[in-house]
Amino acid sequence: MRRERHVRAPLVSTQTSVLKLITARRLDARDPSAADLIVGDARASAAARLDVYRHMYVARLAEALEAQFPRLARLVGDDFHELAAAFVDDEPSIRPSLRELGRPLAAWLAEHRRDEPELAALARLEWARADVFDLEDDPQLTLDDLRAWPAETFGELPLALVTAHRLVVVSSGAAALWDAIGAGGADVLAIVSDVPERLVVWREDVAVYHRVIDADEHGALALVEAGASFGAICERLSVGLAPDDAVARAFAWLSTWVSDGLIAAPRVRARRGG
Amino acid sequence: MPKTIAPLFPYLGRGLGLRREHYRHVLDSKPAVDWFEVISENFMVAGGNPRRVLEAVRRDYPVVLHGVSLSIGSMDPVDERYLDELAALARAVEPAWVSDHLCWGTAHGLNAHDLLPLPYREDALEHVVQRVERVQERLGRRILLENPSSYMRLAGADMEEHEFLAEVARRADCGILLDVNNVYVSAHNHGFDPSAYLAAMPPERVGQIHLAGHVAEGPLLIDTHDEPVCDDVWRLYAEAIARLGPRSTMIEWDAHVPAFEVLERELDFAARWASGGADAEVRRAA
Repeated sequence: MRRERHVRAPLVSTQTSVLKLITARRLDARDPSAADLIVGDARASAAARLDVYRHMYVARLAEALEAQFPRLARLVGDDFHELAAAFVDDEPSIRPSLRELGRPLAAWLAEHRRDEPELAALARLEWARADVFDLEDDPQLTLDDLRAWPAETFGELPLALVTAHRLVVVSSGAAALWDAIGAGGADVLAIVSDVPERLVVWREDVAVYHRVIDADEHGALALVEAGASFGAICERLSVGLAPDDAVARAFAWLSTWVSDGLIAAPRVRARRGG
Repeated sequence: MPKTIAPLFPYLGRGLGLRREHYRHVLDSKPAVDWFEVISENFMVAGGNPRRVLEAVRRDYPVVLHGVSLSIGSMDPVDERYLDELAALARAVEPAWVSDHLCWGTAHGLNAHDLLPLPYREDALEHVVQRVERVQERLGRRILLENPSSYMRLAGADMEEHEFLAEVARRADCGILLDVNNVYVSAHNHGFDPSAYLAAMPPERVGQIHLAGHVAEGPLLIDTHDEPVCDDVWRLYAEAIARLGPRSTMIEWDAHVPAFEVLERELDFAARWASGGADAEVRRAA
């Protein structure tokens, strides 16, 4: 049995102090030193042993962020590790899973890297893609379901988006930037502007997709997200279009959404109380 | 003799960690592996690809759940939401068992996402035992705790890790996941005798063995899970099997994940070492 010459601190203060040293964050502990908390020996000092954990803390979180934002990491290049370290210093992980780690990154970039708006825009798109990856699987409405719906009550057709979707507004050019980085290019940074670019992001089976949409389609999808009927979509469009044109346009959208796998089957709507 | 004591966990044979790089191969080829271990947190999600893959693999293989975020030794309150999600996953997967680590990783809600060692002493022991009992009650099953690899010993300890782990297992009536590579790494880093560690393990409570690779960084060995198992660890594994008898064994390889065939070859080595194969014999087989 080994007896230590260190003072025995309560467990809670030991853990607080050790975590403070590893993460370099200010918790409720007095400033500790590695030598107070960790037993050094001839093989390695207390400080050297602590450094192993400090290094692994940042490396592990940077690696998790790179997995969630692979194209942002490619755009930033060698500086991504430094960016990740600064981010986790401000937004440390507070969940057992690293899944949520990247959620605040786009907002953080918008605040801390204002002169590079493409970073926040790309992060917002990549986070939406990462976010839908493992959301709930829903049965989808099919084109056959649409055809089977009685024509006389088609306007009452209740709609809902599948759970695995996100409606995203980013700076214009983010989608083109995402494509360019994927294709190996990185010379399109200047195309990101303050003009909003609207996207719908969704997962069908195991593949994640996104598509740039105009303001009208974004508005219609927002209505569907809120549980609107097909008739409500037509009504919104009829403000600027003749009634027949409004119905035609709404039906064209609906056909695309159903083909994409964006619309949930009736069972899902019933479960949500829709 | 220890071998005559019946273990508390079934013998599953030799398994591998199910990693994303091999999803397609496992689903398409159904390789001749006895069982798979999955990282619980990777599948504690509502749906999508992770759950589809796990459900498909579970149809063909026994699966065990291995967590990294239970933080059993933390002084923070038990994360009830995490426990709920783990319990739900266990109900869905019906794993052969559920394991996590003898460690802590959170303080004041902040998560280091690391497996930090406790100061091995009585108050920590009582704390861990009480939390293990609570987790086991919630899950309705006995869990296994794995010995972590470590690079520091916290001040104020008056027990060795192997004494602490064995005593937690006895008092809380839980199992042990014996990571032989971690024993080797920590023995090197802290200067203890790895054979003494193995000898202290209550045989009936050791339900599973982990094997992995490590690297040397300066004076310390780092548990990286990105290398083949080294000969010293194979020898220690053979010693463990000689002491414990057959134990469900798996290879952990989590970074720079190689082709599936490389992992299958490591499992073949495990079989040879477990059956008492000499070093030279195993090397010739390679």
